[in-house]
This record gives sequence, C-alpha cells and structure tokens, in this order.
Amino acid sequence: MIEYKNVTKIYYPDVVGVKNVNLRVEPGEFVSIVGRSGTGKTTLIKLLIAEEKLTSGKINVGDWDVGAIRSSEVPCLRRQIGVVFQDYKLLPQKTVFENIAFAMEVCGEPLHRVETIVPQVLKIVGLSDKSARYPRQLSGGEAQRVVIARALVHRPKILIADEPTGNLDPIHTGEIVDLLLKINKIGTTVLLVTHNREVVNSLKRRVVMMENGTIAADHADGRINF
Amino acid sequence: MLKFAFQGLWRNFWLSFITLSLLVITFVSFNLLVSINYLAAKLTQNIEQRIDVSVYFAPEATDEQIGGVKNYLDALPGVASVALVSREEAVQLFRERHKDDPEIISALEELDKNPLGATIVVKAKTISDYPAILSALDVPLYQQIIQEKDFSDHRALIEKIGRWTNKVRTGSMILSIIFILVVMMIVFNTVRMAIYSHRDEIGIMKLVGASNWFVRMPYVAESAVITIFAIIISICLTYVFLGFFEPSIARFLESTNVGLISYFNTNALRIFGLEFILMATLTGLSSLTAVGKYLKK
Repeated sequence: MIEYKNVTKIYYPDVVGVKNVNLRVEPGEFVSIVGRSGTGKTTLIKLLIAEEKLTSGKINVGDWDVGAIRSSEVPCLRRQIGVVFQDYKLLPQKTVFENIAFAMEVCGEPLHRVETIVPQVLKIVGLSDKSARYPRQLSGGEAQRVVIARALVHRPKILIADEPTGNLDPIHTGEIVDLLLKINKIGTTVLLVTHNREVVNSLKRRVVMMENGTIAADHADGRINF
Repeated sequence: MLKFAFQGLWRNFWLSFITLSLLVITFVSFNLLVSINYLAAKLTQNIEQRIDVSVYFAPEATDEQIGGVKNYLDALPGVASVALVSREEAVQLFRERHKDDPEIISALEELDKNPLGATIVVKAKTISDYPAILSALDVPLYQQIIQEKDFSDHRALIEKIGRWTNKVRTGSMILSIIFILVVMMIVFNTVRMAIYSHRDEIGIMKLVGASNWFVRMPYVAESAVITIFAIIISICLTYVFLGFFEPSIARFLESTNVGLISYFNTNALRIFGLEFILMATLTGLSSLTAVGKYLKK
C-alpha cells in the first residue's frame, strides 16, 4: 500500500513541486498519473523513492515511513520499488544480460541467483533471444523492455514507470503497456506516469490527474480529458 | 567489488599512474628519513664510544693510592667502566708506540727508572656524565697524586652532527608532508574524475538499490590497490638505493659495516607496515570523502 498524506514539496527558493497531495494506492492496483509537463508527476515519484526530501506531510510505502527513512535504509526501499524511466539508462558497454545482472551484482546477489533470475525476467519481457545484444543493437521498445526487466530482478512489490513510452512509436508503446499489464496481473502494483491520453484511455484503469502540483481529479473508470 | 576497482584503475590509467608515482616518491622519501635517523644515531654512537677520560698519575703514586682512586671511580653512578694501566704497562705501551723512533727509545733507556705513572681510563655511561666524573676527581685528596686529566671531548662534533641531522630530518619531513598532501589531493581528484566517468553506472546503482557502501567500496579498493603497488615498488627501489649507497656511506663513516640494509631487514614489517597503514588510511579517507560528497548530492 502507498499513501501520500498532505504531501508538499517546495524546491529552493519557492518553487512548488507538489502541494497538499493526498493519495492512496492499494496493493495490486494499476494507477496512471497524468498531467502536463511540470505539474508534479515526477516529483511524486522522486519523493516515493526517497530521491527528494519532503517539505511537509507523510508518505508510507508498506511499513516504511519514507519521510523519516534513514539514508542507510534507502537501498532496501529501492529494492522493493522497481523504477523505469523514459531515458533508458542502460550501460552501452554491457550486453542486455549484463545490464540486468548489474542490478543484482551491485546489490551483492550471489552469482548463482543472478544466473537463475536474469533469464526468468528476460522471458517475462520477451527478450530471451536477445540477451547477448548491446543496447545500440535494440529498438526503443526493446531497450525499454530491458529496463523493465532490470526493474523486476529484485521482485519489487511496486513498479513505477515514468513516461516509459515517451520515446516510442504507437506499436512499441502498445507492447510496453501490455507488458506493464502483465506485470500487474502477477500482483505487482504499477504506477504509470504519462501524458499520453490514448494510453490512459485504452487501459481503463484508475487515473489520477495532476495540475499545478495538486491532484485535480481521480477517476476509477480510466477515461480522462487533459 | 574488486572487479569494479580494477576496471576503474584501467579506465583512468594515466591518473592512476601519476598517483602511483607520487605515492612511490612519498614512500621512498619516508625511507630516506628512516635511513637518516638510523645513520645519525649510528654516527653519534660511534663518536660517543670513542670518548673517555684518561687520569694520569704521578710516578710517586703508590699502587694502594691508585687502587683507592679506581674503587672511588667504580662507585660513581655515571661510570660505565674503569680500566687501569699500570706503570709497567704504560712504559710498555710507550715503547710500542715509539718503536720506530730510536731517539725516544734511547732517551728512555738512559733513564734509570720508569718515568711514567699509571693511568686510569674512564668511560661514562652517557656523554653528559663526564663533567660530573671530572669534578668528582677535583678533590684535595687526589690533587697530589693525579698529574693530569685528559678529556678527549667530541661534544662539539656530536652537536654539529646533531644540528646537521636535525636540518636534514626537518627537510625530509616537510617534503614528506608536502608529498602526502599532494597525493591526497590527487587521489581525491582521481576519484572525482572516476565518479564523473562512471556517473551513469553510479546513478543506476543507486536506482536499483545498491548500498552506499557498495558504491563507495570500489573507489576505496582502487586506492588500496594503488597503495599496495606503490609500497611494493618503493620497497624494491629502497633496497636498490641501499645496496648502491651503503658501501659509499661505510667508506665515509670509516666503518666496515654500516648495517643499514640489515636494519631495514630486521624492521621491515614495522617500517613498511606502518607506511602502508598510514598511506592506505589517508588515501582511503580521501576516496571516501570524494565519493561521500557525490553521494550526498
């Protein structure tokens, strides 16, 4: 369960990131967060993964109080939250397999677990046959699927996708959305941040609309105009 | 973690090489400092061993009186040894010393009795004990039988060596401190540059939940690896220099065995171990600070 209670983030000196946000996401939900650029969508995500500090309010992720979390606990929190960004953030000198394995190696996972889990996540995202390729040899959609696979290696309870389809054509966008739905189906809570109206409307899932740092609308039926 | 450390070393080869070279210079200058300390102590010890007080007795002094002075000197707290040269031994030594000078020997033969008195040679425990020993002999009881006291004083020379050694020691220490500061700054900047070139990897590490220690440790390990290489190279260089210069030093000191190499052999663990621990700590702290500054961003 994710819960934002009266969350405010002011960037120095007085730029409002988000203001008095109250939001509750139940385990296993698929929620799209929509809105124009600069409305506070990414700030909400950065606060959730403790990349930014709260100005006021409270964020709970399961048993974690993210606002009061110690810096030594942040890595544990981040292993429970998989994050996918628009810019793929893949290492160009590593293969698909190595990019995914890297996420496990740097968390001290033993080699035998790396060798077991990486092929499993590659199978989930449908890239088993491309594990030896380098990022430059992949299409945009494939690269984004590698990022999703990397986010899944710690079997997170929550997957956050921040504009994952921003750089993709409609066909690849459809593939990524299908993949996110598939991941949600196996019990993972998915937060999809996007400004793509077609994607949101096609999902028919809960939609939260941000405007000027606040929640302007929260619809359960999945259709929204923005 | 070590894999990442070696990758970092290789990717920033020239910076690693400069850091390594400076560390080697610093270690060698430390070893020079140790050598200077050892040689100064050895030189002072050699000179101190040559210092003694010779007490020449008048020929009329009886064996009983001389024995009394010897016992008196033996009982003094600052005295290390007292050696008695009898009148007969004194004349024998005189003959031997002047055996190539027939005029002196014939002059001695012409005398009907032994003109030389007995001598007592006194060695003090430390150089600062000599004044007390000399003044202890300035008592009216002994003034009639003691003809002369000869104190071969090398104190001025010892002080000169001390001053010279202190100057060299201070110079080496200042140089070492400068080298340490330069090394720390270079290590700090090497790590900052390495972080810059690895910023994507570090970003991903943080994103996927790598602990701060896991992000930091490759850089600390990198510093440790450079320090290990530097100490190994500096040990080799130090022994090459010692092997090359020890014979010249021995000739300069007029000594057959200076013992500098054996001093390093005996104290190798202490000298090189301390150097390594000190430098590994400093470079490690420097790396931690550099990564810490980045991780706080």
